[in-house]
Amino acid sequence: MSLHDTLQSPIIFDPTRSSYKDWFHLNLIDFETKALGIFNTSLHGDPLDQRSMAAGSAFISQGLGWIGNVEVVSQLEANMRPNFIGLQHMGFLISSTTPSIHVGVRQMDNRLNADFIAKAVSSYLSIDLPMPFGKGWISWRLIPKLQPFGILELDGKKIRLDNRFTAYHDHNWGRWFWGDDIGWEWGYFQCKSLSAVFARTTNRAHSIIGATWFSIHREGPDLIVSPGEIDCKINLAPKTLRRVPGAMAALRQDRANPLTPQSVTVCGKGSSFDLRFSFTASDALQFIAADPAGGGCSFIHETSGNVIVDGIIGNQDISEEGCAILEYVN
Amino acid sequence: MSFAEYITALIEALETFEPSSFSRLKALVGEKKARLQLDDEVINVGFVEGQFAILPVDEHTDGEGVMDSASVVRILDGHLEVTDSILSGHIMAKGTPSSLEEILIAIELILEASIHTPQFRALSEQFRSEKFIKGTRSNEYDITALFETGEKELDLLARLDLLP
Repeated sequence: MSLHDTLQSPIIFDPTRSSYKDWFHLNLIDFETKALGIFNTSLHGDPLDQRSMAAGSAFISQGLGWIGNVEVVSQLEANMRPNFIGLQHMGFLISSTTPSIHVGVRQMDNRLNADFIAKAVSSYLSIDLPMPFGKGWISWRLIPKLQPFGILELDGKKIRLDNRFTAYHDHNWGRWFWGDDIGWEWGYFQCKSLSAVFARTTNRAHSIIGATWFSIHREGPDLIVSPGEIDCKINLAPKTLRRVPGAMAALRQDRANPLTPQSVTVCGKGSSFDLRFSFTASDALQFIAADPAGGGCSFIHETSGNVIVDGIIGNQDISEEGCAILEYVN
Repeated sequence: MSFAEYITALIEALETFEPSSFSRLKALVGEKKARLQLDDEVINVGFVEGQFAILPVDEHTDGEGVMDSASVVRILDGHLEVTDSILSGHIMAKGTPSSLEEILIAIELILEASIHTPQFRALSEQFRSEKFIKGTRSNEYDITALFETGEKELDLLARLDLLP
């Protein structure tokens, strides 16, 4: 398997360059401590516009709030290659030679450092078609399961990831302005013998549901649930949470206690399976995505928590617990 | 950099990269002067003949803002909300209601301009870096839990239809 995945930078004559977005994303999950990590590097806006942004974020949740931080610089200051985004405190590389993701983090306060490689151990799924998203579009690719090797350093304590953590990766890109009438719901559920990815685009109020994705991954073929067989219920409640970047949080006081997912149930059926994933939230974090060209803001809520899956696959009863992360954007 | 140098660099960046925001700031502030204090450093600021200026500290001012570096770093790192920093006394603002309103609008105007101005983000990063070297740390843990919304507050907000 090879990745051959690169940034999807706009061509020079693209009239929609100012709404360009590109996003490398990776999650780490540790069953032992229930630790959950988020590592992102992203590009926002026309790469040749000095107002455009490159952002990097690295956070770990262990049930006591989030350790980590976000950095935002001009894209012109970022070190970019087709498969790499490098910032002052973080680098994210997609290697095509060995199907793997390389992440390096050195945060200013040294509370969170990381240096690891996550090798793909599951199939590589690509939804390259531009899906309607507000006035623009979005596409994505994902690797549901990777095996990380390397070091995570939390408050000076070094943790070896080898044979203990598991990882998830996706890459999404497209054209939209933050603050448009857009939103999405995304979840990654990792249990002992299987994992699942749920995603759907929405409008800002989450009253209109767009393209929906629900896939279940285990040993053997992936189970892809058809959109008509997916049932998702999200219960929201006001939450006091950490919000970054702090300057944007200061500007948007109206979103200081947002409604975030407290419990979520996603059910999927197929001819050979019937599964129900029940998520209960613990820590939440709000990324405030301000658009350098559009001027609006969207709010990306990351919620870590526990998940229970029950149901059947073939003749086998399934009942497992695990860790999960849910993203709710509005 | 001193506090005076930071404030000067901020306003210069606003004038250079967001001239319309700079004009709005000038129109908002007019002839008024403000006293700003960060830790032990006190400065008076205002516009003199249309130009931003650091003024003598013994001059009369119309409003005053006091803050400490640790709180500013915590706010920049998302560990402390501005509202909570005011309620807990880490940031203080004094003046007539209209002066306070103008100070808050001026801050909002600068924050909004920062979305489009990488130089602002660079100044913020430099501030965090310098304060970190001097030993100012962000909070060990997320302290927003100290300010969890109470049931009574939620009831009141629900009755007034103010929940998000």
